[in-house]
Amino acid sequence: MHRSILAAGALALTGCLYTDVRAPLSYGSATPGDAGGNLGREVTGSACNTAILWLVAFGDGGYDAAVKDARAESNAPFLVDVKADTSYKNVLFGIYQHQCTTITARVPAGPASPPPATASAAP
Amino acid sequence: MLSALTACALPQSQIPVLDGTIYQGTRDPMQYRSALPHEGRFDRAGPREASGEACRSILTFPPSPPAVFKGSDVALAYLPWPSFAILGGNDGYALAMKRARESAGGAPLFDVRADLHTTAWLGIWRTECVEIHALVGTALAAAAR
Repeated sequence: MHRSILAAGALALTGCLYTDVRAPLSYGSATPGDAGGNLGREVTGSACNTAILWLVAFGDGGYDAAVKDARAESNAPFLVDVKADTSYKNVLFGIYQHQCTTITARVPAGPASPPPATASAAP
Repeated sequence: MLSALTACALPQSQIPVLDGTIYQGTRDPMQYRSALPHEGRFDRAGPREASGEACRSILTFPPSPPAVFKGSDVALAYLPWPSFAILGGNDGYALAMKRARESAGGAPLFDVRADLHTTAWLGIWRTECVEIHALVGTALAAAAR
């Protein structure tokens, strides 16, 4: 009996019926040196995955969506000094789960942002 | 003594072998150090974006859903049956980056974001794709010509 309950619980794992999620894998972000040491204001962006009743999981919680969300605040071509965190909301053993990837970064500041060796933009 | 010998007989390998794996022929992502913006040039006003993906497929039976959320891998360990699996495909960085670079006409890519896109139905059929999104640039050597 106990075993059957465990089996049912295990089978009803998050996303058992359908799963379509994106998870962060790696991000080769720019360094402060890429901005010539000129760091502008801080921006944040996040992207999330959600799972409901252990049956369906969906969302785009990857780096790409989080970075695009952060870049949308600034119109910067790229972000520097990037910090990536993950946050969870988990209610009643996973009846509702919400996982977010949050990017906190600085935007390159001013016209002096390109490093001296490569200061000019491509045509 | 017998158990010690049994342990010695097992391959001392770093390769993860899933329980119940019948066949696995995959190439998976491990590490990629992408180019940085100062290693090339690109249109800072509005650089183009490129993307590419590489996938592997997994067939499991009895069902074994993907452990994509916190704690679900722990729950998976309580499955009272072995889940037999057949895995195949190439979801490595090399192929995903090759496809992304091809979509950019062979130009170098910067600010590379890699995500793992998991799609699964009924815990039986699953695809896992490495998705690359990046900024398109011009190599310094090419730009100097």
